[in-house]
Amino acid sequence: MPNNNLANSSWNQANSKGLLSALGRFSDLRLLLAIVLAMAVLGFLSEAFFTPGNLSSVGLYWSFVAMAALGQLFVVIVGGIDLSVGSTMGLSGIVTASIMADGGNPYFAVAVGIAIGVAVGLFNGFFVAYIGITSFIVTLGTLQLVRGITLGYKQGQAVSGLPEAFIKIGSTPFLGFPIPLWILAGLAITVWLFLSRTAQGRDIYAVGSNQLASGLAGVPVKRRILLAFTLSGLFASIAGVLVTARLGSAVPNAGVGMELIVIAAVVIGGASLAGGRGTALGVLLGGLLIALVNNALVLLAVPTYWQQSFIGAVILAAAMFDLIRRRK
Amino acid sequence: MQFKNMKRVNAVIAALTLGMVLSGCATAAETEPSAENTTTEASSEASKCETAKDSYTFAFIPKALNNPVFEITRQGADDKATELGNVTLEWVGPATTDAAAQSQIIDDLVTRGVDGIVLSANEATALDPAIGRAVDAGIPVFTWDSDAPESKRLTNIAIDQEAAGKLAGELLAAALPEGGEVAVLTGTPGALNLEQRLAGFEAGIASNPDLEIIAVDPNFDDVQRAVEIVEQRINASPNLAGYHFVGMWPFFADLASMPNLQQFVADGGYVNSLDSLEGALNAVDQGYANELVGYSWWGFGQTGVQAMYDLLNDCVTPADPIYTELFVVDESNIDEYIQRQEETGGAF
Repeated sequence: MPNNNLANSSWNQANSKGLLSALGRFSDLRLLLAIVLAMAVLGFLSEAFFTPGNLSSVGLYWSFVAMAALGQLFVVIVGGIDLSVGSTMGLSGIVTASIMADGGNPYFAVAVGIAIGVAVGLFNGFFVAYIGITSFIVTLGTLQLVRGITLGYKQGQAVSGLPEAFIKIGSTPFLGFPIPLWILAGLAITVWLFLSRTAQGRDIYAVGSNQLASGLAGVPVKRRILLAFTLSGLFASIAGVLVTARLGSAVPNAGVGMELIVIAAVVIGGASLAGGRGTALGVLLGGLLIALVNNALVLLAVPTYWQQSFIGAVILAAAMFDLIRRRK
Repeated sequence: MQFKNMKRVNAVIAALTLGMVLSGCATAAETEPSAENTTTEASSEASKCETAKDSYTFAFIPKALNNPVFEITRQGADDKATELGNVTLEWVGPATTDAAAQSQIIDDLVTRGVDGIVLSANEATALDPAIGRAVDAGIPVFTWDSDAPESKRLTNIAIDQEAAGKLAGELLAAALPEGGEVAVLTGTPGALNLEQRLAGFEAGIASNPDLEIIAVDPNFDDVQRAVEIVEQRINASPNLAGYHFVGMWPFFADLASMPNLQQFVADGGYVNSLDSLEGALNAVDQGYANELVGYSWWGFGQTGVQAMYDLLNDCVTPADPIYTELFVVDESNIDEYIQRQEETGGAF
């Protein structure tokens, strides 16, 4: 086992026990407290914030962002980046919708949509891990390639007329919470267990911390990188299928720009773009902050032309806050 | 004897020669027009437009290939090109809303030598240089829907954006005589056509000083964002009386994804939208909106192809601008429009 303090530290933080550790990390707890404070402020400034309808809407947007961000987490931990998640969401959604609109079995349609995400992830991972092209370039290429396929597949047309049962998955409450939130919870727990309880999870941290050393120690580096990108594609496609269910239709520009939102959620949640660091809880919190910011734009009626600046400022502030607390 | 024979030979030669000359003159008389006919035909040739050709290639450039609204225009353009018979239509655009990409596409089309370009500009001024290069290369350029007014384009085929927004504002003001809070949903801030519509809407509601715009929420042309904004805005604004959509983005989603909107209308709230494509018609039909200010996206395509053909084939300079008629859809005529939508697939 290499003397890899950073990998051990990150893995141990994800795996350790105790009340605070059960929340993931002490730093995640501070981010959680910051989010709680933000929610309190929003609730004070707007009566509508804590209404069931508003919380449900925030929760839905959070679930889609965080799902894709959980997949991105694997890639960021191994030191890469996946710019194709938005395009993958769009293609998965429109293919799933098309199959159902043409009378196909919904289970088959969803399976195909998710398989598309896996295929895109495998494609990305292969070129990064085995061909050796930097992930930024590979996924920038697949961002365009997959978006082009999405446009060409239906000639730029939206697809509607989906089965009621499928649409209901997108927003129907179950025990008080929308179904996508339950799916997000299940995925987050799975990711946490995988990263903290399995050898493959430890390997992913090791690869991100020091690829050379982990390879010398016997970690199958290329396979782990391939796995990371495949999981990113998988999670993006799940999010894309659920967004389609939420809207009840698939539009060709679905997911445009989502890659930047997803990466922001991962970074805000404490993952390092240099690799070797990040937790599922951090991603959940980062995604929640993004969802709260979008909600705040509406509740506080932020002036139209300044909204993008507002979003950018919040993201930068969160990233700076995270950087400062890590250096202490 | 020899001399007699030579005489006969010369006579035969002369006769043959005379015959050839006479037959040549007759042939010439059959093929060459009379002086009078030549003048007429020469006049006809002179009156034909010098840009007239046997066939044409027109390129339509939408704002983005990923916006389903433009597909109706494409259908209209396709239908007209088929009707004319000698027009080839090319539909080429950027994958996403990108003015720089459109500029490059224009330059590429100039290089390829298309006969005409019809463009929906992503930005009001950024495409002026590219349009200028195309026109300088002898390729006429029209704009449709979203204009580049300071460029060398010959005409803009669109609705009067301000008039459309103003009509929507007047409809809202008439529906809410007691006044109240009003919210507006728009797309990407800065898009010229949307800004003109918004300005018109504000002018339209000015007749009722008791109406107050409490928010103008941009969805950046993202349907998912539009749905979330609508639901959150209605939830966050208990005193909301009216809601105006500058475009029909939320109606591209399944209407059932907006229960707050349906309840808002059911409770007496007023909603109107620009655009009258299928999703918007369904919104009025199913109680998610009260009125629409509609116009024919299909007609843009028809007009674009016809006007370009008239210009190149017959030297008919188009009027500037060419405005498409506006119409109002409400509960009194929604059945008629639904039927028309079903019968034509939106081609009206």
